[in-house]
Amino acid sequence: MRKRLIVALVAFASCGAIAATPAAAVEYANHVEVGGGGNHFGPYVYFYAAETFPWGTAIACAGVRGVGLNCAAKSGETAVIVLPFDVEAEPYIHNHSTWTSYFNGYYYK
Amino acid sequence: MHHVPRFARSCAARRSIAALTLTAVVVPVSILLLSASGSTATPASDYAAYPALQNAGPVELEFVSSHDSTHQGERPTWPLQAPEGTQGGWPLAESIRKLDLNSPNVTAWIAKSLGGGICVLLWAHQPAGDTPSIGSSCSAETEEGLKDGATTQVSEIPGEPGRVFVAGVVPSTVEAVTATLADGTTKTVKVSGNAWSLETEGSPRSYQTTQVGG
Repeated sequence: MRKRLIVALVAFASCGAIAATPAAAVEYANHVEVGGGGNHFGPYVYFYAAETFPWGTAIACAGVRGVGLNCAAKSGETAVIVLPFDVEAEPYIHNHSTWTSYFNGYYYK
Repeated sequence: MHHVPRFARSCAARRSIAALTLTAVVVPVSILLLSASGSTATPASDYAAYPALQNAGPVELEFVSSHDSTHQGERPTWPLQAPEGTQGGWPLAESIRKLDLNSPNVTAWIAKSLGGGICVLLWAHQPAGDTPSIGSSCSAETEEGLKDGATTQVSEIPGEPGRVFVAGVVPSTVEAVTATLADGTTKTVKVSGNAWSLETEGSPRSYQTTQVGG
């Protein structure tokens, strides 16, 4: 009886730990060069959020093809776009500046 | 052969059970609390210029621990926990407060960032049947970043080609924001409750703030 209780408690707590584990970043682009006003599309995958990190002074945008695009307004800031559920689409980086710059792209699933 | 009394074995077993149970409960709860609190290195006093962070009204944003596709709906959601590996510019769920923009087409929120900056979140209401999305940007994690505030621009919404929705948060020392629009004209919007917003065709080129009494 006691063993069953322990097993149940441990199982319950483990489920809690699993549920509490946050989503992890998948880096789909590392220091990729994107021309001014250009895009860099990631793979066609299931994900719910995308993030773009700029290496230089360009303005970064994070997009989900066919859903939307979000741009930071200041150079050097990261941009994030979050959906309420996983979609099968392409995350992408958009360089909102007029000059070529370098970016990292991440998606979360 | 030495026999451990049954009573002693029973006590040891009880202690083991208690320790196991305690570990099993405390560890996941600690993980949850630590990941939810993030690394808010910025003292609360640095956010004094953002009273909107204290807004007591309904947040009107559903927080979820899972983003599986069984969750469908016309409204966006936000993850209860910041994903691992995010770059620091991620709004902390527990600090998110709704902004009063009086705009029928957008809903926006303010939040502290994981890294200590200030964030704005924007939902440009999508046409029915399309996927709702929230765009977010956060200021730098510096005193200067908090002084500048944060601005986010959402575009490429299905059915809204060329339309750009902008929302920003600025300190209470700022009374207006002037945007230089894509066509070179300017548009000035008043700041209320740390927030401002505008809708335009094409992405604005730049933004300039006007200080109170300036």
